[in-house]
Amino acid sequence: MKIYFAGDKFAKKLNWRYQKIIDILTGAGNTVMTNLDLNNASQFDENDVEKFQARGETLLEQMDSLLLEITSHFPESGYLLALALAHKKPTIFLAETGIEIDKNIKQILNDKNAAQLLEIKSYRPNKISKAVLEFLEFAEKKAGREVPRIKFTLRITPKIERYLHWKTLNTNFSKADFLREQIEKMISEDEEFKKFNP
Amino acid sequence: MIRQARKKILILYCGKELNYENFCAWIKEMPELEIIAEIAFLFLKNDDGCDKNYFWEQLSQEIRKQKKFDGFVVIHPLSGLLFVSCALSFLLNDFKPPVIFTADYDRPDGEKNKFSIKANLINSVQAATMDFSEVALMFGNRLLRANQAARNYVSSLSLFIGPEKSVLGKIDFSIRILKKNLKNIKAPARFKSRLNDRIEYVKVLPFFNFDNLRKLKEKDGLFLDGTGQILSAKNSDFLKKLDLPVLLFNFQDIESGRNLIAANYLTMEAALTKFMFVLAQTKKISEINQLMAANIAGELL
Repeated sequence: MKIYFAGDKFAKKLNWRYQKIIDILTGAGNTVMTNLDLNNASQFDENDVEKFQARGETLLEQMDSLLLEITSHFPESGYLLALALAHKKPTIFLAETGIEIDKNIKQILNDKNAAQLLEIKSYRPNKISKAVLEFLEFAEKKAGREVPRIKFTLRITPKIERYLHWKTLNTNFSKADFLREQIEKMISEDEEFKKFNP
Repeated sequence: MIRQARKKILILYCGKELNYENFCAWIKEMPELEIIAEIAFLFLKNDDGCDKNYFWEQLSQEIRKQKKFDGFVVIHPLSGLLFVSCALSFLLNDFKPPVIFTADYDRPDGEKNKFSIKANLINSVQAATMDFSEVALMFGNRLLRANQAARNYVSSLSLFIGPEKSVLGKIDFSIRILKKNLKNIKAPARFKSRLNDRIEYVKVLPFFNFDNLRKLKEKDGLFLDGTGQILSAKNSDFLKKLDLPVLLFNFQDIESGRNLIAANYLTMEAALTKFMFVLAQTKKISEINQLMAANIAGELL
């Protein structure tokens, strides 16, 4: 997933927290772009940027979801949220427990369309990993990640083909369904990956 | 951290597609706007009659009298958008808050276009909260100075294009205002907020007979669109004998002189609306020449 992460670039005291969030997201296999000057963040290729510009598209439209850390308020957060909702991008506001959320943002949750795409989460600093992983689950669900959408071409041997045919014959599963199920099972049993995925 | 007070933005709807009730319903579908700024709305009927300059003057007066707002967004049909925004750039040349135009245009089937209109409006409101004094167009990923913009007919969400110095802002993950391109007019003059529409517009095609211009009556100016032609010495002498200012647009190798004013340093819309604006300020040929050559609202290409 391509995730845009934004925080208050003037809140230097929170940089360690912002970096931790980026590290968790990238560790889970996501591409993270950010307004902050931190490690492990990505940038678009120049050729891609030119293509987007020629089409009149913004870089924000290319992202799958947004994570805004608003423990320290930054003025652009409202605008980013508004644009994310306009482009139907799932967005999460993360704020440390005890921080007051702008009432205009809370009021957005009264709109049923916006409420489906927005979550506001409070967290304790020592539980930041849990908060970020919950965001990933929310974003993947809302971004339609549970529905297989990514085309993947795999060349197989005749022997594998015979096996898949034999395994799925007289079942309601296609060969692709069977393979997806096997991979989901591997994911659920992979202890290393579980650290990044609840 | 001290939070800044929320900016107040007025959205003026001058479109044709929606009546007042539908407009209110449409705005209600966008609660996101209130996150960015404190929003108020004004529904202006845009009578699509011939008296367009009357509506342009009315729009500028309406904006001027709204003293409590920090910025303005005007939603206008695509058709005529360049003319109205150019006109307002002159009528509001000394106006401090930003005025951002975007369009209410036909929405063909397809989710992408619906998102674009909403995104344009959100970007317009955000731009209107920023600190610059320009009349600009917001479409796609560009904020352009209105009186230097032209229609972009290549398939793109950025419906208008302009030279590099007309790009006032770019949108990637946020709106970046390009300060180097903002107009640098330290003490803008205060003019009359009027436009003079007693102008004859003539398109000069290769077979055009300049003798037809003898029949011009009750006009304060002549706008000749040269379509890339060369103005012959004979025709130039003929025009110099006319007792009114003549704006020469899109002629090759032309220079100002006497009552002839060369305007190849402007877009067509900017040239025509600036001419209307200048003719409302003065009748003296020398002053008309001076004002047409001056950089009133950042319009010079």
